[in-house]
Amino acid sequence: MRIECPVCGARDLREFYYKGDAVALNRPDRDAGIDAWDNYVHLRDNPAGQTRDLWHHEAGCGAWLVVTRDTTTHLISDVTLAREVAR
Amino acid sequence: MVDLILKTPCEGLLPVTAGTSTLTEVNIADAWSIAPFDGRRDATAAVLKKQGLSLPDVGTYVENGEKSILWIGDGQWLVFGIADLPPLPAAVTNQSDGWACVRIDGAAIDVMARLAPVDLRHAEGRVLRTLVGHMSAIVIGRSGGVCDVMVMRSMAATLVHELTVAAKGVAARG
Amino acid sequence: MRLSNAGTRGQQLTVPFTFDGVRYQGVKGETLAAALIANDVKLVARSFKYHRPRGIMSAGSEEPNALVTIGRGANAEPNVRATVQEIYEGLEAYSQNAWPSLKNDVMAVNDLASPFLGAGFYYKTFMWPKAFWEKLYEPIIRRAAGLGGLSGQPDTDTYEKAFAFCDVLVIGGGPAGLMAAKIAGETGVDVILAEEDTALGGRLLGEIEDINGAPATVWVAKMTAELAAMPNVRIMTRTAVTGAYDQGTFGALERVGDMVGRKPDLPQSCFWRISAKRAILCAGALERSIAFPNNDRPGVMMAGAVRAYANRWGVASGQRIAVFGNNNDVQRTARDLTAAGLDVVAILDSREGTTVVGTKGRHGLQSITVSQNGTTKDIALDCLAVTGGWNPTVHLTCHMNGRPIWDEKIASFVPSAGAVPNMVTAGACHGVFDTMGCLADAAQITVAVLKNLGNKAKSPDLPEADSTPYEISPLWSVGGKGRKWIDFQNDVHVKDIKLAAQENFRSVEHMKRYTTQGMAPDQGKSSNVLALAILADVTGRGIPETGTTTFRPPFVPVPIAAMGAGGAGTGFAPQRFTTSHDALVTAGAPMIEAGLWYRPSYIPQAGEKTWRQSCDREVNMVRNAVGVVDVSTLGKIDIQGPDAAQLLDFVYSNTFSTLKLNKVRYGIMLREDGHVLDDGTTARLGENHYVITTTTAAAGLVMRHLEFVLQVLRPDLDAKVISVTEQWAQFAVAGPKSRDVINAIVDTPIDNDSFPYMGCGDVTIGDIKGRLFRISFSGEHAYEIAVPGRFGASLYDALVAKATAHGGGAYGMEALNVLRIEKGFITHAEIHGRTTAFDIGMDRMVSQKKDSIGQALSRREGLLDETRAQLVGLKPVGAVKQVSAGAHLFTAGNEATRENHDGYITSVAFSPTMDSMLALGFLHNGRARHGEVIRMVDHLRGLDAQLEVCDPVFFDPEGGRLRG
Repeated sequence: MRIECPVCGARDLREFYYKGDAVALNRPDRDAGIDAWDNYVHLRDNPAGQTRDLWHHEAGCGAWLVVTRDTTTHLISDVTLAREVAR
Repeated sequence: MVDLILKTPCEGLLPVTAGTSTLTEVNIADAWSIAPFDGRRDATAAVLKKQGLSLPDVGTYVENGEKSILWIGDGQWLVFGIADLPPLPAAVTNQSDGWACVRIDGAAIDVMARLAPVDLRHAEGRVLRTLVGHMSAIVIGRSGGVCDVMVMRSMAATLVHELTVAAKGVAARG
Repeated sequence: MRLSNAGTRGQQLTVPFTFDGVRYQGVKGETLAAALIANDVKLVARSFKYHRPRGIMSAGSEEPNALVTIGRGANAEPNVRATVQEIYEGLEAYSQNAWPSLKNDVMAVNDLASPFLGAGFYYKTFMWPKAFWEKLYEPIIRRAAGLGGLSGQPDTDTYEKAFAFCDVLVIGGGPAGLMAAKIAGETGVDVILAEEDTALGGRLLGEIEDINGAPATVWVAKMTAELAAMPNVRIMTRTAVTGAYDQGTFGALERVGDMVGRKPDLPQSCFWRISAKRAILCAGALERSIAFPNNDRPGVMMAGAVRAYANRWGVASGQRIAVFGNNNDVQRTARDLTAAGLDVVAILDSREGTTVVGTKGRHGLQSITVSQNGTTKDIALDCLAVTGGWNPTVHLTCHMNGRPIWDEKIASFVPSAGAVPNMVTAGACHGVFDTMGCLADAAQITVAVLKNLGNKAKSPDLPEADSTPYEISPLWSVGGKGRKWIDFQNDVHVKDIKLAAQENFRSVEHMKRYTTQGMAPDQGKSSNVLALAILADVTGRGIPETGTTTFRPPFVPVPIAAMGAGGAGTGFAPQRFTTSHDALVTAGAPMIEAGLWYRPSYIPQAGEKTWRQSCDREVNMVRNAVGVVDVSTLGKIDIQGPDAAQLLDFVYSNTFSTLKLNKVRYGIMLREDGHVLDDGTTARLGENHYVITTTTAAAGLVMRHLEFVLQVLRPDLDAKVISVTEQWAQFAVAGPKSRDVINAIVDTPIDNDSFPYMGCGDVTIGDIKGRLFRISFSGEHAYEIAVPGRFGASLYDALVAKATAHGGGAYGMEALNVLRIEKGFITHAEIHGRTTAFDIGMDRMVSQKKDSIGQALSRREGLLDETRAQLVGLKPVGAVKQVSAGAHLFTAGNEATRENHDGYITSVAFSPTMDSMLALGFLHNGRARHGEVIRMVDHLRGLDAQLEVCDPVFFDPEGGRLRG
């Protein structure tokens, strides 16, 4: 598997660390309530199809990436710098 | 009061000749990592310009005599060869002792093909952040197919070992 | 037998090799199979299940029978295809699956019992009684089954793995592959041409054909030379592409030393990971057999293989040969063999109503029974060349879920378009079987691929080549008495497939699992299409409807040693050495792994016989004088920027924006779920400049976490982080005499005012700039002193020398651990991922005045429950022999059962200071139970003891020594 890092170009999977669902971008307010926090930290979908995940180009440029990927075909349709999504 | 004696990361490990490849240590004297604060990249570059250096693009390096700057990551550079860096609008950290650097002469590209998941065939003038074996590394493409490989200082012995094994394997194919 | 008037070169018998201990001579460069045939060795193996005598069947990697072991002992390689293995001087090959010998194999009784051993036999028979499975059935089955065995010793051979990159990967170097590589190469793009054979040419090497009026081999040689001259084309022979993976990644196995013999440093094989922008699969086609009774005797071979052995290798597969088949290769084979001067005794073309209905010959074919127009007759011979047609080698197109499509014209499956992104197929694997068609197909497809890459390639003038159309009339099985073999490698015959269907395993995937057809290394190369055609027939469905099973990677077996090359022993992970490493090794310290780092367990002195003696001495030394230990392995992260303080307040539970300049503060980080992530100290070096420390284990984790926070959660914060772990060599100097040692080192002496407890600042040592922190992990008056890495070794030596002069010296991890347990300081033994700040008694550190990672969820009801297991100290009551980490705690008088579980022990040490075993652990409601006597049980070590619950700080609870 290869991921097209927006900074470095296409790189081998082994340079990347996988974090999980890009829902991590949507951190609730500290007093958002237990349900919002439970949802944020624990509840995940497991779609057959498109997912948006966070990957870290840890052994590369160090950028955190939002990778849109299809779990059935493994096709990667989009890679964006997480900080650009977060802003 | 004590006089401290200097020891380089690869002391006692290099040089090594394996087949047509030679491994030698590249001494790092003054190295500073710089990460311009938000919106201060141009201001940082302007100060460096007075030193006769520019901030290189992603994946490249610039040289001016003994001085050089390497891109080493997202928003991060490594300045070499300036003992006292002028104040910069950037996070500046001394990294002169953080890294071990080994130069591969000879079959560098074939040797590195056994260790790094990147294409180094057209790497002259380029800097790649990647893995060498299991080690996070900075790989620098020099002219004439020569490569410099930097890993964390503590991993110098592993780097030399892995490069030596790979170079011997390449040489054994004849 | 070697042919006198065939073969492509002057042959000299110069290569000695052995098979089952018998010496033979062969020709340099030929395969073991060719050399064995030349030496009239027909029986080469026993089959997997029934131990049937088997001979060489094919001339390529699809070989199901002729699997041999190369070499003996630790370096033996089992299940090597004799049809792929090249001979070299000294090669030792051994047959497999036969005992005591290939001719007299005891397990051949399985064959006599075959009426009982059909598909599903094991599933049905070895069910009951259940207890028999592990003790009786499995060992018996394991002994009886399988092919080659492993030596059980570590493989001492060298293997390699490597990475390659190209614009266009051409897989297969037959006529289509040569054409594709040539066209692509001429545009200047980077091309890799991978061919599993030793030479380029594919089927052209084994056929008698003309290209441009000259033998096809002349054209192959010309193309090979032209490709070799192109600097942008890399020809990789002996390299089988084994799998197609995501985003244009391909696995490929290159045989190196395997094929030429061992040489120092030469890898046996190299596993390549090839990254290609585009791939053109020119994998050719595999010939299939026909299921007729006893079609597995040594001497029954594929017609294409018989031609290849004659035409390419110059060896005769038999003296008297018949050809049997359902397509026009029947005539081609007869023609070639006759031209080679061989005796073709019968031409049996099923399209003319002639079939083979039986064979005879125990260890080799002696005769066949032929049926023609309702009458049968026997023909004496020693070789039968069979062709049931050709199957495009679609394997790689199936590796990413692609399903091949039935093509009635060729009575086989062809790849579905787009089965692997950016890979196309050309030539025979694309369903085009004549040479002219292959060249034209490859040219057209390659031009399109290059255009797609943005290159202008022009279609070349194609050479004149054979364009005889492929004519086939499908024939899958023939009636008659006896087993009709389909999958030779897994010993599956027609009746097994019928039985599967009869027992309602009608889906092709169920049939595969029931019968084992198409499984294992073979992946159904020669058998799949035949098997499912028979399943279709039995179930009354069409072949397209029946479908194929999934061809999985690898296409050919790949030694795990090649995939994991370099990973054995210390290659498993980098070794990280501190600057004090050499000095410690010289001092005789046993170095133990701490993550990737190596740290001293203890530093023995003369006369010390056990680690405990050394450890106790080192603990006493620190408590009474001074000790030195390298703490460079702790993570050190430099944080700068206008928002550095805000970042720290966000990632730590406690507050760092209030930390004064030149001061150090202890902090804890939580995970977002409220559990402790890591702990460490943070020093403020400037208004917007901090350096934090992490535990050794979590250094990388915390660095990644900080980047995550800055890039994903708080991109509004302007702070920059970078690791300085390796920049600084840092040493703890601990004990009542620590300041004396520091002052013997630094240029300007320090005192309690310049460096009070939890103070920090710059120092110089012989004009070298260093940093000094007054922090302690031992409970003693202590410092950590840091210098640039290049001076680390020198400073360590100086510190140990000065400490020794003050009655102290170096200490190691064992003593460090005892010292911290005496003080109740935690490590990752306690913050193991399931404990909260509340559990370790630090809930007050979780500031409620600000948002920080984990703060919200740390307030969850369940995480603040008084009954949670809380950190406690534990001391033995009475005569306790041993206290063990990992032991479970129970309320006194309770039975040691899961239901009564009340806590567990995380750290244990013998404290010379307290002259007692001490433990830290977690006990339900533990903080309210100090003074209670509880029960410790270690079921694994058979320990049962009484312990008293106490405060986790055993020594100097007021902390007076720290401020010393």
